[in-house]
Amino acid sequence: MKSTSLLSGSQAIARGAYEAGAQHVVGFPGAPVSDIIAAFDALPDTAAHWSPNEKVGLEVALGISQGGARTLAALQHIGMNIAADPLIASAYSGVNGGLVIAAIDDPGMLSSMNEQDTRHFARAAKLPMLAPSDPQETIEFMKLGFSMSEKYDVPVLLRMTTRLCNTRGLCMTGEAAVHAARNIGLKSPKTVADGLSRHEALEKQLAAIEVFSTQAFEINTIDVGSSDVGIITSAVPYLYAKEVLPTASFLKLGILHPLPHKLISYFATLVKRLYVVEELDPFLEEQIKAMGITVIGKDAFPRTGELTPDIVAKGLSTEGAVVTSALSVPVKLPSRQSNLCLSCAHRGLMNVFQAMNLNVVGDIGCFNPGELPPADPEEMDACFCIGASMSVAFGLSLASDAPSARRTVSVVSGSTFMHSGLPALANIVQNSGTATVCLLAAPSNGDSVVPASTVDYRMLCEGVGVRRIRTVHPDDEQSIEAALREELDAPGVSVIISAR
Amino acid sequence: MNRDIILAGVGGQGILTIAAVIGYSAVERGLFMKQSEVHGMSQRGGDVSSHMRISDREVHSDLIPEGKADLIIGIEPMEALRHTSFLKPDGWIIANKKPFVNVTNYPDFELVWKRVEEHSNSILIDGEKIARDVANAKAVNIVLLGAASTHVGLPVEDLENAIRVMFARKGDAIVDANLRAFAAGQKFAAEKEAVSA
Repeated sequence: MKSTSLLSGSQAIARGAYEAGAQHVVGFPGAPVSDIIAAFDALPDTAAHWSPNEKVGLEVALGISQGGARTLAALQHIGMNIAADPLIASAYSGVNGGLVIAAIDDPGMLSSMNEQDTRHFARAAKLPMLAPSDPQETIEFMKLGFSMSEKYDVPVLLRMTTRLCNTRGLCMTGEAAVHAARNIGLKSPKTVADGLSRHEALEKQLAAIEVFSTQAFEINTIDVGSSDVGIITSAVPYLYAKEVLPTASFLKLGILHPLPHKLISYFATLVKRLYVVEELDPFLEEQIKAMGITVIGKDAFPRTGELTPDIVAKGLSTEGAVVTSALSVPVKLPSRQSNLCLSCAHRGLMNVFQAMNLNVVGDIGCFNPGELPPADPEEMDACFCIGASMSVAFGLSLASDAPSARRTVSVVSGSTFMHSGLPALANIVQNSGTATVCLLAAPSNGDSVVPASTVDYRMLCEGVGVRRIRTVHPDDEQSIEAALREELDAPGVSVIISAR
Repeated sequence: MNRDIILAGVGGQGILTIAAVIGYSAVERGLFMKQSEVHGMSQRGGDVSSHMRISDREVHSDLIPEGKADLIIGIEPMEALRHTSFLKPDGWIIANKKPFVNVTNYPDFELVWKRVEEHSNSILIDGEKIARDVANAKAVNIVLLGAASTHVGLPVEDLENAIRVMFARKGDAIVDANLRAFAAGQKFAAEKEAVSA
């Protein structure tokens, strides 16, 4: 039975996978992946498999696919980096049950610290990529993704953005399809010769997908309007362009890779001036220019940040898009700092770090000390990427033998320790390095849903050869400070586990 | 029919609840709608806003262009001001009076209130007092929705019905408390608009 409901983009990803007959989802917690996994898990006969990191998660998904069932993998853009190895391997091995990977970019950094453009992964991994523009289309493209994945024997990427994941729109929802498990057996290249032939097969599949893409007029849609102005665009920027210049001709690309080159050439003949409206990198623009077609792209639109209807209108103002003069904000307004949850277990530890004037190498997570008022920004130290606090601090100690006025401490949470921290810790021990690590094992946000909550951290640290391990209560600032003073003076690697 | 509405406040003030009430009403009416939410740090005292676009024709962009919004509902007065660049010159600002201060450089309260009231179509409302008087302090968001209800572009009965549906699982007492909060907000705004007119 069909019905109408108001779904977010995240819910639509889950709904589309469900309606395609997928019964599994894998992912590592983080906004908006957690929303997708929770939404999928709430649907009947589905299973959510939280993973300690994205590489492990995608490998589980690959196994589910090889076993013949359909599965969804939900990854943040940064998660795509972690999962790049199985991602590229999966393009060569192919699939049995359909595998769709929702890859969520974050223009504007609404929930992360970088604006990488994941569309490049489609070309690097040689995988087809779909890009919906609203929640309804997300459901449809998700179903298309699963059928394409099985038809062309490749995983399919569904490129989303944080904005789209958090947009609600009306959706027609239907029943779940019954997907009979396909039992074709394990397949992966076993020799170099196999790998080479799989690469050739993959190139043939991409060529076949381009033929499909060129004829898929419901997915790559042409909307003929003005013969003066044509706009090639996709996803959410399409909606902004349509809003501010509805009279233009549009080629809206639902398939971003491989590009439907013939369709683009045809569209270019319909109009006098051609624009490319896309967020972040000139991904479409450069490929279209390489076809010898003149387009206006990043000369008119920014490479950084999110697009908005107003930014798109400015870029198209010479074509008649109206930029409304806005009321000025009548008083200077401060931005509101985010801060630790009032109930956060780690407040005590942060207080001690500050009181001791420590050089804190942080990790990704809500406890990132630099974000914590009243932390002095001058004392914000470093935070690179997930799991990096221990390895970076080790590197710091290698760079200089000179005693620093400020002692260095690494901070890692249970979930980031399990994500990629453990090899970093083992590495310091194996290289006879010195480090003082604070492992925040009291549950914080992400820890409650990953195996991190049940891990015996002391045993893990012992197992990789750490000899100085002590446990402190997160509220007992005196004991934390005493432990830190002692361990900072001790040789070798110390781990202070903060746990209730 | 076409209404562009911005809901603004601080995480935890119930922005998404009133978005859900408006959204439910619009869907029940068979209207097109899109709603953009900005969460992220919302649970930790960050600012939260939502763009809602309701129309009898297809809605493209989920974001409202600057200068196009018909209404800003601010559950916090500085957050209401933060979005005035989106407002039409004759659009309405319905803002709660009580500042939520979690920054050291919050502007002078009187100045914030004055800036809201300088806008020709504005209502500044002591939502906490009204909510406490007729229901409970948590119902501030619904008081604000009540005060804004004649500018939402949907029949008031639809919004009341949506409140019944949204709060049904919390029991009749909570439903009734929120309906009283809604009515009290509506009454306050009607009296205020009558005086200005």
